[in-house]
Amino acid sequence: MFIPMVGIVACGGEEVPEGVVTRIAARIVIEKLRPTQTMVICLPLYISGKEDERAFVRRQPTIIVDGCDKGCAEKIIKMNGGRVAAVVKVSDIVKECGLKAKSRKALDEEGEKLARKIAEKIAGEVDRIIGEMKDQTVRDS
Amino acid sequence: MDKKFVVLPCSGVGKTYGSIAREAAYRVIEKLKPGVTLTVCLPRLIVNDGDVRQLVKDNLCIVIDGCPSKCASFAVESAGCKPTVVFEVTKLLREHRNLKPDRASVIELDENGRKLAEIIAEKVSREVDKVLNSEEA
Repeated sequence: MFIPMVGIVACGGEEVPEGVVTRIAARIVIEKLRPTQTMVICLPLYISGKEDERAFVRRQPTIIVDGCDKGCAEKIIKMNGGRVAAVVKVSDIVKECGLKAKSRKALDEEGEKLARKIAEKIAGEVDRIIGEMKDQTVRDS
Repeated sequence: MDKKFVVLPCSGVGKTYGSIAREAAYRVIEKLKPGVTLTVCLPRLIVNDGDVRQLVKDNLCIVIDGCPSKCASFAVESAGCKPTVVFEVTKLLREHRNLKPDRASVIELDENGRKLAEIIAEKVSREVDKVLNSEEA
């Protein structure tokens, strides 16, 4: 059955400002940009083996939002057999656009702009993935 | 004391409680107990990047769980580390029922959420003092 729903997994790393950016960008996508097509996956809940989160990530495509090159969220999802459809790295977008989050506690104006930019990138990936899912459904029918 | 306190909050993005745990951790690390406390990314602990597990094992670990799922505690224990003390936002909310946060305030905490985070940070800070004082005695 075709379910046009994509999971968003943010690393949410506490140590660095980029971790804060991942969680805020993910919330912007699920609350504002693509509320009916996305679901946020709570990474700690996923790690702890919660079946709802695990089943969703096994069955539906997932976009990983990692803060830095370490790619921890991607590694965690992959080592548990999740379907990674796209990876968005804050550190890559920082290199492209020059915007930088300075505080890990709360985002300043520049950090908010960066989070918005990343949210838009995620939303673009959601559209691409759902488009591919629709095409696949048409081919299969 | 040579050891430091690694404060590990829930890094969940699904509920407000994760944001409160996180806010409390930053308050401890940056305002109340700078120098003796630090944090590491919970996902880093799981993938053991840069031998971060050893860092947690070699120091004292304070966990701030968001909800009764206790995922941060689970993550710490599954990485082979043992928390020195565990706090849970939802449990502390029951002691401060007037501070129920708006469920929608995940990105930015509302006033109740911020107050609850302050209370939790003070509790964590007192726990740090307790351990430091017992080491000195």
